[in-house]
Amino acid sequence: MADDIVFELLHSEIINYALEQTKDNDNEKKEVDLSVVEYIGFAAGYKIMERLTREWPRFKDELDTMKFICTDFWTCIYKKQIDNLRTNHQGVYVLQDNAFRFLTNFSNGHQYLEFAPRYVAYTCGLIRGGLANLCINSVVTAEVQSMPSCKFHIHVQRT
Amino acid sequence: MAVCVAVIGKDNSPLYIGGVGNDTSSDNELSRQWLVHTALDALEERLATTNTNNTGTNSNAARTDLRDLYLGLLYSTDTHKIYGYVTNTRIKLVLVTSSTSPSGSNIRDAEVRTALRRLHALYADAICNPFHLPGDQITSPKFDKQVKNIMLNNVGSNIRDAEVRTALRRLHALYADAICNPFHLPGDQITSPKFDKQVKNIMLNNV
Repeated sequence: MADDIVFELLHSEIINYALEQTKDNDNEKKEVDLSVVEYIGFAAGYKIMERLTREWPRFKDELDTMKFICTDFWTCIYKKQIDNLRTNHQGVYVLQDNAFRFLTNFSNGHQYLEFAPRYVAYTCGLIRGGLANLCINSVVTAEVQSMPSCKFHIHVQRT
Repeated sequence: MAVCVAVIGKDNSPLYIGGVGNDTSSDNELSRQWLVHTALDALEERLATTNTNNTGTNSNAARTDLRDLYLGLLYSTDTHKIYGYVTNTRIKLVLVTSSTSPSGSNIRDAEVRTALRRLHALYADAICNPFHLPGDQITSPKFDKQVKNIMLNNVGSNIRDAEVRTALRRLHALYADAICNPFHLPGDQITSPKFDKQVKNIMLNNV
């Protein structure tokens, strides 16, 4: 239990730090820059994937890989599975988590809704990095409509 | 014994090539690279059959076998045997053994598999180094040392520590049985033919 808390607190401090950094750079822009946080997630996802898939049989196809992300990968990091996986079978996947861990501490209303995107950037990078190590290049975005639930959109880039 | 171990990246660029022993001319760096690269085509071919298998013509048993990360013997020449292993992240691990040395001809598949699995574990540890960037060559001396250890200990020397341990444990059990014989006096030599036979059995079968 204690290690979960450490991870959560470290994560929120990283975000605070990144926000401070961008504030120093330019005061004019209103936009928050979370690309650093996203990159930290990417590196972590990339590295963790090598270990997670060590005992795993070879993945059959892309969908098999996504199922792995939804079950084992998510369980490893967030101690729960993705609640819903949807796909159009053309490279777009939507992963829905009804109680996303970084958002469960906030109120369920609209009070902090505008700050929610900050808390999903790391996870977007995490998914992207994990997939990149599995040779799937993608763009991952997140969408928060009502508070503890969160949708991750994965667009696989085919070349 | 294993003469060479290589880690090949996603784009077939070598991340690490290590070898032991440089007593003969065939053990130099260049021939190592050549040996490893001859196997890459065979490796890609194996992977391709795995992918086409999804369409489902082959039997189920064959498919599960092909989904294994260990690909088995890829290529053998007069002097060397080359084994392959591909991780889910498309990192290729290649192990080359010498088939000319006396111990090289009877390396068991399971031993190579174990060595490659251990190599995979070492690789995963090596890239978890925060200073390592994906796609970079692995220059860690620690990794190098551990890989050389695998090459020296595991593959080639035919007796593994675990086997010796099992044999000695079984010997212990036999001894315990033998002295429970009511005609056996403490400190006496063990003369039981049954014990003798069982011990010889252990010696023949196991170690």
